[in-house]
Amino acid sequence: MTTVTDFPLSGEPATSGHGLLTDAAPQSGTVVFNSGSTTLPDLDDTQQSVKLGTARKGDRNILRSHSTRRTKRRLRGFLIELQNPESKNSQARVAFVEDGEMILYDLPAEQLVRAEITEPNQPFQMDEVEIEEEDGAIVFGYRFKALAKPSEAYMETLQIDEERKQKRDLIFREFANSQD
Amino acid sequence: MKNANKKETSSSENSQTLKIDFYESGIGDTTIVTFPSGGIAIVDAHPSQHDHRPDIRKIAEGRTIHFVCLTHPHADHGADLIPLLEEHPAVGEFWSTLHDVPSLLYGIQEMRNFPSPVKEFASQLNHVWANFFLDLLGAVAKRKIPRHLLRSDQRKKTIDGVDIHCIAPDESIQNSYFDSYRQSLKDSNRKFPDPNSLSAVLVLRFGESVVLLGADALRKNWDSAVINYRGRNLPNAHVLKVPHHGAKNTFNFGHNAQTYLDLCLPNKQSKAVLFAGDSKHPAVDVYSKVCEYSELYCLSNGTRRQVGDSNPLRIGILGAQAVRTVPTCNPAVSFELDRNGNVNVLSGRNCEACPLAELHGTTS
Repeated sequence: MTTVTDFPLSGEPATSGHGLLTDAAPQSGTVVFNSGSTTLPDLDDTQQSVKLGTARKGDRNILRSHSTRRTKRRLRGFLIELQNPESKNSQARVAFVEDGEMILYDLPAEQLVRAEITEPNQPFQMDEVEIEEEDGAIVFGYRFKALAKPSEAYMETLQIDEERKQKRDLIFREFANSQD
Repeated sequence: MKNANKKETSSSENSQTLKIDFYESGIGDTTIVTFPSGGIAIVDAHPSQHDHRPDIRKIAEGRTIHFVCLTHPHADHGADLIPLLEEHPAVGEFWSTLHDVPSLLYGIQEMRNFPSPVKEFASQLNHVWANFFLDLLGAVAKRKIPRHLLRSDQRKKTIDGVDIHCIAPDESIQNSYFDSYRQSLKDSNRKFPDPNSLSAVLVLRFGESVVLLGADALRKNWDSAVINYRGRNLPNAHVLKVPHHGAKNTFNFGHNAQTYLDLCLPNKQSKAVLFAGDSKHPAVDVYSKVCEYSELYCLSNGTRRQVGDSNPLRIGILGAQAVRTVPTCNPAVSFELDRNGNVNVLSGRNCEACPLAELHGTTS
């Protein structure tokens, strides 16, 4: 059984402590939350039924309901940089890779950091998860997962073209001595 | 001066003024200094995606370039220095803070990557940086352009009656950067240091007029730069290039902390110029501080309404937005300074007169 205590209260307005929706959120007719939870259980692409924890304000007793959740889509990308990581409003610049193209995005860094996605070039996947509760309410959330740990980093030697190899060798010769 | 072309075609020839042109440059910076006798210096250059800025070759055509300065090794400050260094017939010197080029050169070919299906894309981005660095320094090396290392303990240089001081980085910061960089090459778990810490902060003094060019200098750079500025008995600046696109990590909000604004004339007597062609910049609180203190002119400002789809992937996370083109506030901001501390605005309008600022409520 999974307990998801920081998941938002089912059926409450989306602004109740979990932030406002963006204009990209699904349209009316659904109850939408922007939890960004990283504590959701691992999900695969198939529909599965899991227990979802819900909580009312001021009530830490967890009410359980039978819910169905699906991974609506999965995006992959990598971190470019964290900006102001010491700040609570830290942002992350990431590159999502879609259809062979990179699309650069700025995201709140909190969810990435919680998923231990902290290193430049570190790959991750972001699942958009839809949860349908017993009463028909639909909740959306995002789940980040590092595709490699920071400790898995390796040094890659970039392959540069012939012209730039010549430039490199020339620079080495010209700049070999300190400029001081 | 090597390769110096004595013919000057500038309209400011012998004008006995110092002219500073800041051009909208997309995510980057372009600053052109025109000295009293018409020769120029280029302090960083990056193209504009809006094509507001003339081709950098056109700007420099027929004019002596006393120096080309890369304030720090980031492509958004140096991409458009490459054609000048490769082709311009009269580049006097190349200025930078890069005192250990061989280490950097080794490092740019080595990137820290991770096993994943997207690793090729991470490599692609790093290739862009590697190519920038090789093309830029390759041109300096090929043409044997004299190099000048910038550091705060260097004496001022004087060109055409304009004193040019470097007040950052300190030698200790420069050494610390390169030590850390070398360590990172050996240890894949160690983070690479921030190249912004290598930012050269230049002060141009022409008589009583002072221009402060803040590059992308960070808070720790400013801590020492303020001391260095005072130590050189420089009068407060009339014109400021706001550092690092107005980012928060340049500004010390602590009580009694000294910041770059303390080096400028107070009560809106100074003019600040902001390059913020990126949706993350400026930080709103930094923007407010600069607006309170000085008369601010933005080339672009990422807090304004932006162009294009803000969320093409339809990600429903508050604050998620695609990196987009930022609209132009001013295609160019130009000032002319005389020896007596008088500043004439040749082009550009400040935030108080900017309809974009009013519309989006980001004026002070």
